Parts: sequence; C-alpha cells; structure tokens
Amino acid sequence: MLYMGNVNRVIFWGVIPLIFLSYLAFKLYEWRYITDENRYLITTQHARNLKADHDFNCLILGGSNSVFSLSAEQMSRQTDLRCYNLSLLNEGFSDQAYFQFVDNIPLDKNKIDYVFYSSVYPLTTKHFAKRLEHNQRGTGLSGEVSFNLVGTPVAENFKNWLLNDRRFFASTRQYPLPNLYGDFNFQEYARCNSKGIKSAWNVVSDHEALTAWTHSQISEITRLFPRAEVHLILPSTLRSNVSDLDLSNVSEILHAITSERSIHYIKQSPFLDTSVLCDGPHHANSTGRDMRTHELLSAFQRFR
Amino acid sequence: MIRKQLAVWVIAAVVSYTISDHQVFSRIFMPLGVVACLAFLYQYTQVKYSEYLLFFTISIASLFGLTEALTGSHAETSHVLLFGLSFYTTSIAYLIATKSFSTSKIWSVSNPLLLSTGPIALYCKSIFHKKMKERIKYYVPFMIIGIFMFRVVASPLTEFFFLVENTDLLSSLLFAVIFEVFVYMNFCGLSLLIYGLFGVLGYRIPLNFKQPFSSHNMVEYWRAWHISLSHVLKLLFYQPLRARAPLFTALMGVFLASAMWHGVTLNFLLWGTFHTVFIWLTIRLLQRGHKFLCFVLMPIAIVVGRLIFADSNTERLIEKLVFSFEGFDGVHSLLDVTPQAQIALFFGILMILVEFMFRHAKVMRKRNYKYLRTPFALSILCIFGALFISNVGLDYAVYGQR
Repeated sequence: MLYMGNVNRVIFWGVIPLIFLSYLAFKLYEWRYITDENRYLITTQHARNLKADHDFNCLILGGSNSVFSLSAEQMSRQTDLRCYNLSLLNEGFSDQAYFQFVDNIPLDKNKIDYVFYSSVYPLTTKHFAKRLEHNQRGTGLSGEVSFNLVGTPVAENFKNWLLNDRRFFASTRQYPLPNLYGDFNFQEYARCNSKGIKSAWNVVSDHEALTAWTHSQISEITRLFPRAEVHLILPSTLRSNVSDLDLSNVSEILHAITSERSIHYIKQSPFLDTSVLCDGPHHANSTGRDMRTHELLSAFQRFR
Repeated sequence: MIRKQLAVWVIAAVVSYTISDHQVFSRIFMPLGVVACLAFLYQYTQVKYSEYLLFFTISIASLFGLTEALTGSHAETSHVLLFGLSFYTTSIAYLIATKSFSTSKIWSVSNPLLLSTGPIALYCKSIFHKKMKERIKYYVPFMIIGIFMFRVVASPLTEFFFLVENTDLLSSLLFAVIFEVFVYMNFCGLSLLIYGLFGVLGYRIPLNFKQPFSSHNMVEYWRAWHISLSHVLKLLFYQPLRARAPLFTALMGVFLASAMWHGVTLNFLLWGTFHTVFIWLTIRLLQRGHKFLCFVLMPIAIVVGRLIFADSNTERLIEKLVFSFEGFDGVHSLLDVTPQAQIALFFGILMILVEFMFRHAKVMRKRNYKYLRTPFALSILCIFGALFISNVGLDYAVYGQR
C-alpha cells in the first residue's frame, strides 16, 4: 500500500502534467505546418487578372460552392455575358473581409451589369453559426492560422503516421490559382475524391438571423455594384438528408426577401449523387460544374 | 471574506469574458447590477412569497418569448437584461426561502461562471483553511473529468442533432439516447469543471450531479441529477405541498414547476406530467417491494422523457409519440457524421455503462465520481483526451445564460 501511494503521487504530479505538456508541445509543433492553403495567393491572382482585363460586365460572387461549381468561362462562352468568378474559398471567412476584398479589387464597379451571388450558408446551420462567429471576430481572408490549443485530433496524426509513409502530418493542401476567368483549375488539383462524401447538413433554423444576414448581404452587394442586376442563388448541394419542408421554408424566406429588395432569386436543384462531386457535398467536379452552370444559365435566361 | 469573494468574482469574470464568443462586458456586469438591486430591495421590503415570484420570473420571460425554452440546443438569450436570469432568480428564491439572502451574497449569486453554466448558487462556502496543494489534489481531478466530458464527449455529439428532424420510432429513440448522453456530458462536465475550479480557488459550491446512472430507479436518478435545482424544488414546492396534499399532487406541483422553469411550452408540460406519473408509480412500486419493476421502468422513463424534453416543435413531437416503426434506416444516420462524433458517442456510452454496471463497487458508493478521480483513471482520461480532443461540434452550455 505504501508503494501504491507513491505510484499515485507520481501519476498525479508527474505523468498527468507530462501528458498535458506533451500535448501542448505537439500542438505547437503542428502549428508550424498550418498554412492558408494558398488563399492569399489566390486573392492576389484575382487582382492581377482583373487588372489585366477590364472588359467584364458580370461577376460570380460567393464561397467555395461557386469556386468549384460555377464557371465564368462557360457562362461567357454560352451567352453574351463577360463573366468573372470572384468567389473565394470560405467566402473570405467573414463578410467584412470578403466585401472589403471585392471593394478593393481593381474593377470599375459601375461597369458590372450582372452579379450572381451564390452562398451555401442558408443550407447549413453549423457553417452559418460559424460564419456569424467569424463576422464578430473579424476573421480575415486567410482564416484562422493562429495557434489553437484544440484543432485536429492528435489521433488523426497517428493515423497519418501509420497510413502515410511514417509522416505525422499529411501534406498540406494547396488550392490552385484561378484561370483568367477566375475559375477553379481542376487540372491542377489532384485532391478530388468523391468517395465518402456525405450529406449531413441542416438548413438554418434561426430564420430571424438568416433574414438579417441575407438583407445585409444584399445591401452590401447593391452598394458595391449600384447598376448591377443581382441574382441570389441557393446553390446545388448533395442534400438528400434535408427535409423538403425545411428547405422550402428557407427558400420561401429567400424568395420573399429578394422580391422585397427587387432582385432575382434562383434555387438550383440538388446534386443527386457523388459522381459529380469533387471533395465535398457542395464542391462539384468539372462535370458537376458544367451541369450546375448550365442549369443556372437556363434559369437566368428566363429572367431576360 | 467579502474581499476573497470579490477576488473569485473577478477571476470568474475574466475567465467568462475570455472564453465567451461575444465578449461583452454588459453580460458580466448586468447580472451583478440586477442581483445587487434585488438584494437591497429585499432588505427593505421583504415582500411575502417573493421567492415564488422570483422562481417563476424565467417562466414569465419564456411565456412572453423573451427567453427560449431550454430544449438543449443553444438557448442563450439576446436580451442583455436577462443574462443569467434563470440561475440567479432561482438562487435568490432559495436563499429567501432559507432566510439567508443578504447583500453579502451578491458576489456568489452573480458569479459570471455560475451564471453561464450552473449549478445554482445555493451556497459558496470558504475552504481557505485547506492548503492550496490539498485543494489542487482534490479538485483538479474534477476539472479533468469535466473537460473530458464537455469537450471530448459532449461537443462532437452536436453533430447528431440533425436526427431531431426524424420522426420514426428508431430514429426518435436513437436521438433521445444520444441527446441524453449529450445533456449529461455537457451539463455534468461543465458543473464538475466549475466545481473543481471553485475548489481550487478556495470555495465549495454544490456538486450538481452524483452519478445519476448508478441509480436503481427514477427516485434515485432524480436525486442525483441537477441537484441544485432539485433542492430548490423540494424546498419551494414539495415540502409545502406534501404537508397539505397527497403525494401525486405534490409531485405534480414539483414537476410542473420544474417544467415551467425550463420553458413554457407544450412539450415541457407533457414532460412534467410524464415524469410525475413515472416517479409516483416508482414510489408506489417501491412501497410494495417491486424493486425490479422500478429498475425496468427507469430506462424507459429516461429515454422517453428525454424525447419529450428535446423537441419543442409540437407537431413533430406528436408524430414521434405515435411511435411508428418505419424500418432500420435511422441506424444508418449514425454513419452520417464525422469519426470524432462517433468516437465521442462511444466514450459517452462507455462512461455511462461503467457508471451503471459497477454501481455496487466500493469506489462508486459515495457517487462523487471517485472511480474517475483515481490517478490511474485520470491518466487514462488524459491520454484519451489528448488523443481525441478536437474542434468538431458546438461547445455551448446546455443550461446557458437564459
């Protein structure tokens, strides 16, 4: 019993603090590997593209759903529009950051006749909550690359070590730079893998917050592009688990707001299976992008 | 003494402000102001039955839509005047009923950490006579268990919340079970964390949970669940009612008061009635010596009770209570979440099973989580915690500031 007491003391005052310190050291070490996955370079590439070509009269705005799943090049080729895809991954993390980026881009805002704003936030309770949180924190375009005590579980690093050539940290994902139309370059992205993509989202249930957020987004867009015809888009996603009732409630709210604000509303149909997806339920691959862009253009033609 | 209480209040305010998403000073100072006003008002007026008025303040706020019903999703109020209302009014009601409310209690009643997570501040006793090393040795284990329950188990379980939409029998029961695990791990985890933190700082506050899943029946279960609220309900409702009315009426009074405290909605009315019937039945069966039957009734009451508790959408709740079996599709939804959420569910169920299976073991008898506070168990929790803690899920207090 005497020895047992000593063992307990060693565990409490020695082993447990050691576990905590090891965890802290591991997280600090891991922090060195965190990058913004090319987000900052992508924004500078957009600025370069738009500085070189002043001829665009149509913009695609939004988050990763429109980065992956809408093509400004296809829209320009199939209509008389001259479109540029100015969407950013994670929609710039916060609304302030995104709209500031759009505002500062070298582009004559008065020459923009059409804006297509496609955001996935109305379809995702969790991401919507995160968005509002980022808005409050004022998170910037590169996201949260600051030190976080809690992030990816350490167990996942061990899994990497076992499966990934004895390396603790998986190679960091680097998104490719956009092409001249601002579109995502699938040829330079080798991480498309639709296996295991699941539809597990919930549409936003806090309708009051959603209404306030949508009004705020529309106000920002109409302020930035006073002459433009604005189209608010509910994007295609893999959403087989979402109830029709919840979806139609959200859709009705968006429809009512757009009518009130005299802008257009386009609800895109869902992705039916993972074969048209790249790496997420709202990220199409090149085939899915063709389909979604084609559907958007058909809906757009009806307004003309 | 007041200086020490003030120091703890300031530390709690700093912690609360730092970890809060909103970081607004008014959320910390407003309750202090309101509690101070109530304390001075009570000192000079001492209105009769003011404890009942205070207890039901949160129900009145809920009735007028000023606060949300406490169904387990994030129910934090957006009205700055109402922050912490449910906890401090209940706390004051208890102190008035025990004739111990005075201006000296302002700091403990309005402590920002207690108001953001519970328990209800029934007391806040100084333990400064114990050395710091002793306090660390005794109270830090509670903090480790609390962090594990809250961050490693409860938060990732919010990934399963989409199941609330499903109304078929299997999905509804599955959600009720997962939600019970979530509420326990979230509320108990935060209560243990706060209990440990206050202990280290030199104050003993109520231990809000006492291994409820080590119970043999519903009476024991309720004695071990949200103990601080149970004390208030017993003092304000059970004792006066039992002196004048039969057992069933007294129980009905207690559970309806509890239901109204959680929110003035139909599901809580139903929840209160449901538990009244079950606890009354349990007491009657125990009086007749049918212990096994009470044991069988317990999981049914817990799961179905939680099913009713969790859904304030009346139409959907009624659909669920029809209990229509529509196949085994609900089970597949367990795979529709991240691996972290699946691991969290495994840990949660495992902890509850251990609490239940070994309830007769010597280490379990005091029901104060001693089995988890042994250095060996703590090191296991720390290792698994370090391996699996993640940023998956939402980290809010179920009984948050409302």
